[in-house]
Amino acid sequence: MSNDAQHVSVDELADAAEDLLPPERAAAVQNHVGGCSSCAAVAAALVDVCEALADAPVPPMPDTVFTRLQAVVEAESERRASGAADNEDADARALTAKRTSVGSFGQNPAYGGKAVGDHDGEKLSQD
Amino acid sequence: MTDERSDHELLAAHVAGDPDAFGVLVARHRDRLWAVALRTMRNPEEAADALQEAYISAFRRAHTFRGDSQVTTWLHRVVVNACLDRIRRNKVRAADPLPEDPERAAELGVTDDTDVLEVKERRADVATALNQINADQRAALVLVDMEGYSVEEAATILGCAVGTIKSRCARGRAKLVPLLGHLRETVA
Repeated sequence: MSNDAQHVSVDELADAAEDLLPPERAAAVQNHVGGCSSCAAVAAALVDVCEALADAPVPPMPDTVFTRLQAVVEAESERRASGAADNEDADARALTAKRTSVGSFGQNPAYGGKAVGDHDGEKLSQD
Repeated sequence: MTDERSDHELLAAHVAGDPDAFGVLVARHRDRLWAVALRTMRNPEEAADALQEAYISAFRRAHTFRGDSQVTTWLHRVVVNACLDRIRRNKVRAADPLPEDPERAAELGVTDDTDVLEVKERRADVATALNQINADQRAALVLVDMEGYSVEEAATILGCAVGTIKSRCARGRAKLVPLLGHLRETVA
């Protein structure tokens, strides 16, 4: 026990516990720990660490976070649903976008909505 | 909130266009997903941001789920990856251990439901100690020691070899020994 040079490092003890050492070294470590109270204490501390981690209470998700994430999921769901709907309307939206980019009518009242048919341009053309 | 469909059924329904299935699925596993995110990110705000990214990613990429594993394993994988991506992106900031911010924690509702002082102290000790090891080792320990996943499952979740998980767990525990070594004396 007075021979510190033979003590096993905590890294090596942890590796030994995970069977990561070559067989000869694993046997030597096991042999040393069997007769060395200080290394045995470190090995026991490694087990304590696992237990402390396992015993750490599971923190419940705060309701504020839950509500926020729920809103995120709902927004995704709406985005997906509107994406499908938009495909059906793609031509109309392309026309709207073209008019908007040209700027003939100033701010486009149909922007972001589905009321493409109510567009001023359509009304004008019906006259 | 009780929905009798299995996780697999909910995910399949989501892919098929059910607008509510994904929400039911993540609500069902909210605490486990939160625990993994919080423990990996170490900070409630960062954990919530990482979960938000993970939920969006999982929502959009649900069709890539192959039915050969548990849905929870897949969800954990998406969450852990979102966390680790975030940590890498914030590397400069994350290199400094994040200070505990009790006021912000209270605002986020992280303060607990239990008033047993010892449990509180132990939680603080474990959280503080986990702050001081690197993200990869922490992620492995969160899954294996804290969440109870096998090393094989953790390897699947983290996308690396079983030996890598074992090694990260071993070295992470070794680093925690001096940080948590006092638990036995104080508690026992």
